[in-house]
Amino acid sequence: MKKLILLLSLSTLSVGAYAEDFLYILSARAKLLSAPSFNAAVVRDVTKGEKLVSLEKTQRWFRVSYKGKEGWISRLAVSPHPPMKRKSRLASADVDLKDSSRRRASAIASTAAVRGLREDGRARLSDDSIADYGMLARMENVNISDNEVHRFSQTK
Amino acid sequence: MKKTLFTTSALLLMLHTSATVFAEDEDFRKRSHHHASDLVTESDIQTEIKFGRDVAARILGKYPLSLDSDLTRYVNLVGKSIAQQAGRPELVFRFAVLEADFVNAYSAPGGYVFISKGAIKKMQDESELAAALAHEVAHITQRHIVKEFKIKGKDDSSTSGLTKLIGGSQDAARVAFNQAVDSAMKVLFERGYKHEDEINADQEAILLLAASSYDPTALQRYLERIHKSSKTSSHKTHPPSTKRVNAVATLLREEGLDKVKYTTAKERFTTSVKGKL
Repeated sequence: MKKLILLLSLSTLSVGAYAEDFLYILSARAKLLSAPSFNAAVVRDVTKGEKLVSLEKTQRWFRVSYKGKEGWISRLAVSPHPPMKRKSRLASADVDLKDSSRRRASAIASTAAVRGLREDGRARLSDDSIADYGMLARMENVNISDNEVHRFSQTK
Repeated sequence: MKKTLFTTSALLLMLHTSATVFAEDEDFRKRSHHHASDLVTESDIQTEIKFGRDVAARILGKYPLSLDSDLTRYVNLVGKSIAQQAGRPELVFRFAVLEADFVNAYSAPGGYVFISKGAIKKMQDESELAAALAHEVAHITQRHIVKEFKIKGKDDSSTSGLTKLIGGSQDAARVAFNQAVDSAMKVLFERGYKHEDEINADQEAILLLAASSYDPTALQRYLERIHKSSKTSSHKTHPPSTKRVNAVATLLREEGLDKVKYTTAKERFTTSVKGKL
């Protein structure tokens, strides 16, 4: 009979374990708080990629457990999916980077042609059709490390 | 007795097995549902960045980029402090100042954020700069333009918006891609975001400010000042400020954030922008 009870207990526990929902930290750093409020005391800090067990959900907060401690975390900081690796600009920039000059988006003319726009329509379209990939490259070449950002945010 | 025990155990084992399968199915269904509505693939991200680059290049074709490296660096540090909390670690967020006197800020998918010098001139401290940038970051993290124009990567679906078009190399694909970029430009410079997207971006911005330990009332203060001041406001592409300010005030009150004492970083802001606007 004892075996029966043990088996039944194990069975129940096992089902419970399968029903757990997990959350992953997506923010670089986040705080596990004692209540669903930014004013609440900090239970502990958590960092990107760490896996939490979701216990309860409200509109803007999750109640979670992590390494034996329970607390609340903003929904902005978590996702049911693990964080993806950072994407390189070069992986998606391809041919655009070869053209570092200010140019008119050549496809605009064909777009206008396909739409059958008259000249006045094309003129209006062309107002927004200058694409400056040279300046975009300057914007993309500003390099600031995560550590520098962290130091900056800690010293305000 | 042994036979009875064996039978009972077998029944329990069957119950256990079926219950487990059921639980797994429930869990799988829940996750599948979540995936169906929210799953973003590597290809989706690459396409979003490519699309965003084209929009960003058009913005820079329309308004000149500030070449002040100190100001650019400062705006990037503030913006990246906010973006680190924003839940899109796969994106590199980049911030730029536009040489323009009007008051506005823009964002393109994939992590590109722009703010005019005119907008910075109206600010009184760093938390207000963080608030304006957080609002734009929120448009990106919430994929407002991406969702509206169904920007997706390659898959086998026949109903996936730009999916096959962007992956293809035919002229029609390029035209369709550029039409979507045209449409995004219209959202940014003519029509504006949907009202609910603007309100949603404000709400996300406030939470980002709080998570970054900036004064969460900064957005409210800035919007109220812009609202009061005139024709230079950004009403053309944003909902009326009264509605926005009211929604912001409601959230601050509901979350108890109107009483939080976080920094405005006024001194650093004053030092960093002095003589640069």
